[in-house]
Amino acid sequence: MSGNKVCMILSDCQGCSGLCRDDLDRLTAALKADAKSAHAVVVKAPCIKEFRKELRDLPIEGCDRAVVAMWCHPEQIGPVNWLPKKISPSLVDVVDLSVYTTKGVACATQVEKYLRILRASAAGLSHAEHIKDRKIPYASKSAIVIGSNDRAVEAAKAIAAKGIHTKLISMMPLPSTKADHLEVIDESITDGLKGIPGDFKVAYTRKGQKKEADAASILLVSERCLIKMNLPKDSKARLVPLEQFNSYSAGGSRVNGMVFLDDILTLTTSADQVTPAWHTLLEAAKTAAVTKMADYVSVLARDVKAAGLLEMLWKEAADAGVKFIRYDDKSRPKINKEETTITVKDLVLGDTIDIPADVIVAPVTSRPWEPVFIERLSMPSDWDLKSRLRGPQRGTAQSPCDGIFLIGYAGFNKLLDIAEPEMDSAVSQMLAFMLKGHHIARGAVAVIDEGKCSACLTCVRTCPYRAAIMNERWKAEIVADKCAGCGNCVAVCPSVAIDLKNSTRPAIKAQVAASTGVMQ
Amino acid sequence: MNDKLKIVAFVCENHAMSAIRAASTAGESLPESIRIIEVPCTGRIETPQLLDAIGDGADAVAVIGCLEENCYHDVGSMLARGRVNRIKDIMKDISLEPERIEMINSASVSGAMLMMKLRQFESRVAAMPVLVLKEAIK
Repeated sequence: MSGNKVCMILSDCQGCSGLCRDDLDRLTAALKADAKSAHAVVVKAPCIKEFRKELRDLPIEGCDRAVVAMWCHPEQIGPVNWLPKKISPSLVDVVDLSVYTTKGVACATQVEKYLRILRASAAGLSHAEHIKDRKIPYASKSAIVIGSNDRAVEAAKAIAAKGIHTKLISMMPLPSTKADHLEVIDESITDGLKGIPGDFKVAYTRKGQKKEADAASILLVSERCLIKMNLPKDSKARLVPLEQFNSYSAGGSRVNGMVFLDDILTLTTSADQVTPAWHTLLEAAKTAAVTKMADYVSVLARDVKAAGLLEMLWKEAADAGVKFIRYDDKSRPKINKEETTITVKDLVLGDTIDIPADVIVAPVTSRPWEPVFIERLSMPSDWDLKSRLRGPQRGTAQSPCDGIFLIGYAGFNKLLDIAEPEMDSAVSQMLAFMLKGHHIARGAVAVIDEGKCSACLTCVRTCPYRAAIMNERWKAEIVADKCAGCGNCVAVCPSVAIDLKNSTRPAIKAQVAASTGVMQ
Repeated sequence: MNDKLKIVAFVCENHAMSAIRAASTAGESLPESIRIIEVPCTGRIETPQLLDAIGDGADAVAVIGCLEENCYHDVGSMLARGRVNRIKDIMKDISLEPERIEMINSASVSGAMLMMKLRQFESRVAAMPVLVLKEAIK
């Protein structure tokens, strides 16, 4: 059997294992007799910290890897950094034998099974390769916030207040915001994002000029759901989100005019094509008209045809007294400051009219996905879906890439008050990331043999972390800092050019052979 | 007969392994015939490795991964399912039962369900005739 020698460390925890002294001795003797694992040592339970000091000076005799066998969950002992220094932490395999224990059977009968499992584990480990973690100090000391709504501005201010140089890249023109360490780059479109945690580079176009900004960490603020529900200053009208219309209508207040708007962004920014929640909107308008919540109920919409499928609902609403008014993008409705009215150019009459608007109801979730935004940043388009599904591994504010934090991407469209804690969490996580000062890369886990690479791009397409790229020699290369060691590229490579350091081909082969009982 | 049964289970170290750990903590025990081989992701297992396990003397092979829509490494379980289906075709060609290889998906919380599926798989394999390859090795 080829491979490196493996040091076997067995916990003599009688309480957890349920083995008696004789059985433990039998297990140890069998392990010692094994040619592969020459250094079987029984130690006191390593889950107790006091016993770990003795482990520093274990006679390991040239082994650089170890199997630690015990009967509790690996997380209970935490990182294995209490072994002799020659044994690198990446080459320690903690085996939890309690998983394999058959419950309700005398433990003495299971010694054979434990032996088999430990042998298989040692066989696999003897072919594992050393992975060296690398500490990479951040190349940049600044942070970038991308987004153009109020949340983005607030987040940028919060980060800048901690003394970190912050750049706010916004698509829209922003009113002058002045704060220490804050640099506002407005009216610019982000073109791409590359780099590694601690050294990101964001390319953007501002007024026709291509520029680049570097940052240690990036905060992406979603445009779609975090619009502060505020009307222009000095306006007396009240804005009600369509999603909160039910609770508003339960209040029973009566007003002169109520306007239902197809899209909230109509009033504030230049929105692209929108898909309003027509069904909810028409139902709400009908309710308002039927229950006489307002004397004048009107629906302002860009494209009436879009609601063609809801013709019955449309007719019912019209019968109840709802007025429908069309507008187009060139002449957007404007809110009058002095009187509570909205001025709009009616396309049918061809004339400008004023409609009473004491209350404006608009859906905040009408903004669709931001495919353009995501494409420009060259991210997988279903990122927020992933971060939602990742649940236990990733919080809502975290993206699959370290150093990039998200606001408003996880889960569903949400109102400001729900998104507020998400912002706090994202900002605090980002500050913690910035304060750390260095990024720990696991080291190149997947390694490509350039001689074998046929440049078919299969790994580039498959890698879920986008760690596989083509280098200047037109061969595939794994970016060590992004690789998570999942091995998906290894198995898809048609030229068998990639191997995984933490689970090499010989290691799996040896493990299969050892566990099926065919020993060479 | 049942004692000599060997089922090699390639288990992803993320959701599937934590499901097994959770089930064992809850008092369930792993079927005797299951031989666990931990891999970083089920997408890492190559087609030859699956066939090699049968060639090495395993009666059956189980690939245990995350749920497809919730895979830890996003694409791993999906790729593994494709490979398992391909192996089933190959097994038909060499006149072995395609049921000897199976893909099992499990969420990290449904450990008991996973153990039940494994026990069912074990009993299905036990009902099959002894593998000819195995006789030849011995």
